[in-house]
Amino acid sequence: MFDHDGSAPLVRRGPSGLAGFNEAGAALTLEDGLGVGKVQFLRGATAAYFSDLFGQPVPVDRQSLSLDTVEVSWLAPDEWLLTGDEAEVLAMIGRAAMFGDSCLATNLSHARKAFRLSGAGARDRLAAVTPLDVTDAAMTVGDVARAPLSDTGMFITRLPDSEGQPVFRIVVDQTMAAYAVRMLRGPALTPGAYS
Amino acid sequence: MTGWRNNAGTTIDRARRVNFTWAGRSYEGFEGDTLASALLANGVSIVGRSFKYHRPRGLIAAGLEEPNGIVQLEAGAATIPNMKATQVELYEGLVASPVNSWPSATFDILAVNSLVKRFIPAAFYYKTFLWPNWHLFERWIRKAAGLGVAPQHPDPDPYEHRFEHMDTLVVGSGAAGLAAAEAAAANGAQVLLVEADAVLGGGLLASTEPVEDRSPAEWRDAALSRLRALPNVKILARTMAFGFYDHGLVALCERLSDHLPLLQRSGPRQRLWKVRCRRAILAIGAFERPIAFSGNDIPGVMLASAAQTYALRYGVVPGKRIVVAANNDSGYEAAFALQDAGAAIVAIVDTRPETPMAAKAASRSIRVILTSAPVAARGGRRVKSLSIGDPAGGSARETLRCDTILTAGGWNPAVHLHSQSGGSLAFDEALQAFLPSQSVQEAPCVGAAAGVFDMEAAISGARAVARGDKLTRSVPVGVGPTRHFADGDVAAQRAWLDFQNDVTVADVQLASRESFRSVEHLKRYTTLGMASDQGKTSNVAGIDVLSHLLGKPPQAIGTTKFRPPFDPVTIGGFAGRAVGQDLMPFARLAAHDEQMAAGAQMEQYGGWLRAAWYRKGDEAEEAAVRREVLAVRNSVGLFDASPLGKIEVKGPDAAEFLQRMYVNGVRNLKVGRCRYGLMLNEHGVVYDDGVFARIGENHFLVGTTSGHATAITDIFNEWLQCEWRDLNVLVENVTTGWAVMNVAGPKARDVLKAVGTDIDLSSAAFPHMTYREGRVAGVEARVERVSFSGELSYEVAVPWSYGASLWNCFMRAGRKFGIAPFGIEALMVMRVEKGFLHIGSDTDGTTYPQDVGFGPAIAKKPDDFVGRRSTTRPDGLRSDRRQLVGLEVIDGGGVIPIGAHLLPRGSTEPRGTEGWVTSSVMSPTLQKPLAMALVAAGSARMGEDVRTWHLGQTRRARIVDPRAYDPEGARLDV
Repeated sequence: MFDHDGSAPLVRRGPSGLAGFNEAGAALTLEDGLGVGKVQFLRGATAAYFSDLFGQPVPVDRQSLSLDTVEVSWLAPDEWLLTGDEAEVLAMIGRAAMFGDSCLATNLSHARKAFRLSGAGARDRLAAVTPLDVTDAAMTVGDVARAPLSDTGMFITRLPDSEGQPVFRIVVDQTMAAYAVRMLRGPALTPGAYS
Repeated sequence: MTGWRNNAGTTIDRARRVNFTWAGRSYEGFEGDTLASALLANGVSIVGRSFKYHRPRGLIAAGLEEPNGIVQLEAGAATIPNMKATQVELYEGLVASPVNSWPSATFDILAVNSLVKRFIPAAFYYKTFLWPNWHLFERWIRKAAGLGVAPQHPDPDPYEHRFEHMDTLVVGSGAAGLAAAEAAAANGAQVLLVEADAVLGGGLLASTEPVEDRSPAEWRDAALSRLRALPNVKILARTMAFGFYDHGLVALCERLSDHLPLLQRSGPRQRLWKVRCRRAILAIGAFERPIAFSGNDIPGVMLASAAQTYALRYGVVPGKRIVVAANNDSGYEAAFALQDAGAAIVAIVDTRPETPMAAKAASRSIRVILTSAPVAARGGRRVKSLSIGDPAGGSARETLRCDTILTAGGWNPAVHLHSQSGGSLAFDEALQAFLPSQSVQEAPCVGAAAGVFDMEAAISGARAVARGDKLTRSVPVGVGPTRHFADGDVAAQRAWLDFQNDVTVADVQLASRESFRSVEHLKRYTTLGMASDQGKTSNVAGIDVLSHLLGKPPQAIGTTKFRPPFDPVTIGGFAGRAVGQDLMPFARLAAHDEQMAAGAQMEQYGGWLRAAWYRKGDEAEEAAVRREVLAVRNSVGLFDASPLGKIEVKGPDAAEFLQRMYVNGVRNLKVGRCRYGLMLNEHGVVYDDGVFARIGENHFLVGTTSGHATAITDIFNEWLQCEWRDLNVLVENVTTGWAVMNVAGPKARDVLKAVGTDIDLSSAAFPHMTYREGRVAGVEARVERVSFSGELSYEVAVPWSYGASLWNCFMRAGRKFGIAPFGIEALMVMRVEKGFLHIGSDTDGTTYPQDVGFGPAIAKKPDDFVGRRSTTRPDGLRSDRRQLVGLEVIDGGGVIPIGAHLLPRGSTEPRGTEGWVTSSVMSPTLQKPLAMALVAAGSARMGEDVRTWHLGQTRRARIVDPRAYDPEGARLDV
């Protein structure tokens, strides 16, 4: 079918020079290959379509729903972020076609970059870059939010704790991924003047 | 030398000596000293020169209200100008010098200004230096004025930000602050207690008055011990609350390493906190008022409370023979403390006719002179005497020999944060001070900040407020009268109100005579309260003078607006990590590395780093752009168009929605077709453009300019969510999900074919301005056949992660056609050759669509759209509006500079303008300069010869159709 010149097929490549870190009680791990998608329903249509697409009742606002390999997170009224196995995310996006013009489902796997930030120092890292309150009292496992991360934006959800320490998934626009990592890493943190 | 060190001092460590340098001389202090206390202990009386008259100045205060002790700290990259000596903690090796003096603070050449003081009163610069030209004087005046010197090198220190969420923020750690914090914590609240000073305790550190039957130090230590044991209390010293914003947001600046020797510093220098609190309790204390009398700026005149602080906290006595001038009891406490410290108290001069404190003073053998006020201090570089007289006026009746004068003119609660939070103020006649009145946010004031000066009452009140009760304030003990100057009294010229900015009582009188009687006008006209201390010692005194002059109560005059920051904050603190490459993060292209390898010269465009041009060998930009343009015109070029905005718009009402958003018609666009779209803002001004494609019956892919993708997505959502909630439309910005490679030129089709695609690329199947989906090099792709270069052109979009690979694929496939990567500059040249509009270059904040050729399209469109009404206002219908036209150079010269003005017809000098050049290039294709311009009534003036003017150079040009290259578009239809 192709009138091809014999050159190599296209190769998939993420943002260059991106690396996580593990220092001062906080570890940032890149979630390469994580599928990201977004499903929007027309105003008020969520109640009718959500369970058809995801097989589960609509979760409460500002929380996420765990399916087998995909998390479905509330973003805004009638807007849902899918994160998880890329093939399954794509399959869900494909299935959303059954709702026709009542739904806009987009594959954002190439448009976003995801990290996991974990450890005892994770909250300190976040407190340096976002006004979001991520304390236990304000953000429990399963909670989601959209908030500034320095001069860019992020989606953040609290995943189940690991070894008694909090774990956060952070999703940013892929063009700002390196910036977000630099901001979360920051200069060496000092304990300050707590007396 | 008059200041000296005794054996006292609650916050210095005599076992740790600290060496420092001041004005090139070596001195010694103790750990715990400030630079101010150490200078005073070493007998340094003159710490600087005043702003305008360069008068010698000594320390007046001991805290952040200090107006005179302004210093240049350290040197080189680490230098910091305009630090207050009272806020600089002494550290080993510290180097500092006075500002605004030459050759030294003790002998300053510009002190000659003081001799001509009567000729340079307030606002003299508004009335002089006008002829022949201000700029002749400007350099000299700027050199003479100003304080410290800004660093010439980049700031070497990193800074941090931190966000925090708290139930209760307590600002200030004096007795009231500690009591409030403890009571709030006892109620279970998460409490953050912050103190600007290095040492917690506030006024307790310089007090001898027992507190709840304990010494101030014992009471402080016990309270702190209890607080530190509480898990719900966090305490920060060296942390100043400098701004109170909406919704309980308070900004703090924490000094992390400023107190350490330079070589011992590591990590961030300061941390800027943004604390969101449910409630802030403001226990910030109060500032003592100076007293205005002739010569009150001579070194040796000091606030009584400051002298008390120096004596008790640092063991430094500012003089040997001291006169205390007071109108309230706090002056007596200072006198007693200084007497205990070893000074001789010559007299306490009190404006009141009686006070119980007089007997206490007598028991200490201190002479008290009641119903008296200071009239004039005498002395040059140091006070030698003070003459006193009746508070009601008249001549002096006695002269007291002394080396130090302490003034106690009453107290001004620090209402700054309360006012910033939106709270109102009320003038208290008894205290002669503005007190917090109504609060807008949950931000009660306690202690001296609320006008409660009795320690026990302040503590009980603070506890009550922290528990949620209202503050009850007993009737305060009032202050005595103030001696005022008659309007025009020459002595008023030597009575200072604002010490740092050299504003005297006479300056306020002058402003009043010249009708600058609003307190805000007074401030701007005289600069009263505009210095780095922001009038903490001068504002209320100035209001008092104005009140007396106008016969209006201070409440009717009011205060100037209290704005953040409460005290100067270094710019590095505000910047935090937003420095260098992170000042403004730029997005990078998927094929960034490949383009760099190809010689890309990257520049930032609309938040993206993009290739401006590609260097081949050692060629310069002009040659490279020419080569790139000719490659596209003659064969094929490759351009990375990924940053162009891509917004999916879907839903049953998608077409109707876009019909309302764009100047152009959308409803009748067929599926698979593209159309150029022009977007206006609500004012009718051209805002953005792009190509939209109908990719389904109710599904559009909307293109925007590179920098506007996010903004237009937001605009779409705003209209849908706020105005047109009846429209069923969904919007998603997918710009960064798709990498777009634009292959352009006569050989573009061949190259795309060679890369491999299942899309039929024939002209019949895929004509200009159409959209197709398929696979390119084996990957799903969205392809638009659109052109900004004027040549056959395909914009091929693939999922972003394949972008770099697609770039390589095109470059390999195009090699046999001589493919050349081209950058923004070449694209701009080609669009000017075609006469294509570039929003932002060829438009400005006044350009309507009819100015850029869209009048007929609008006339044909029956529907309303955003901005339409605004374009039909009378201004939009003027026949002489500036319209976009082409310019042909007819003087044989080169490119006309962008920004060159078109001179009015018949003009003999460059006055007035009929428009200006908006785009201008040398066309490699046509081998002549081309320009576009916004010209008054331009479209009706085709063929007219005009003159342009730019920085003294006049050129000749002819108004022409901007479409210089392929005006029929034949090269697109292939």
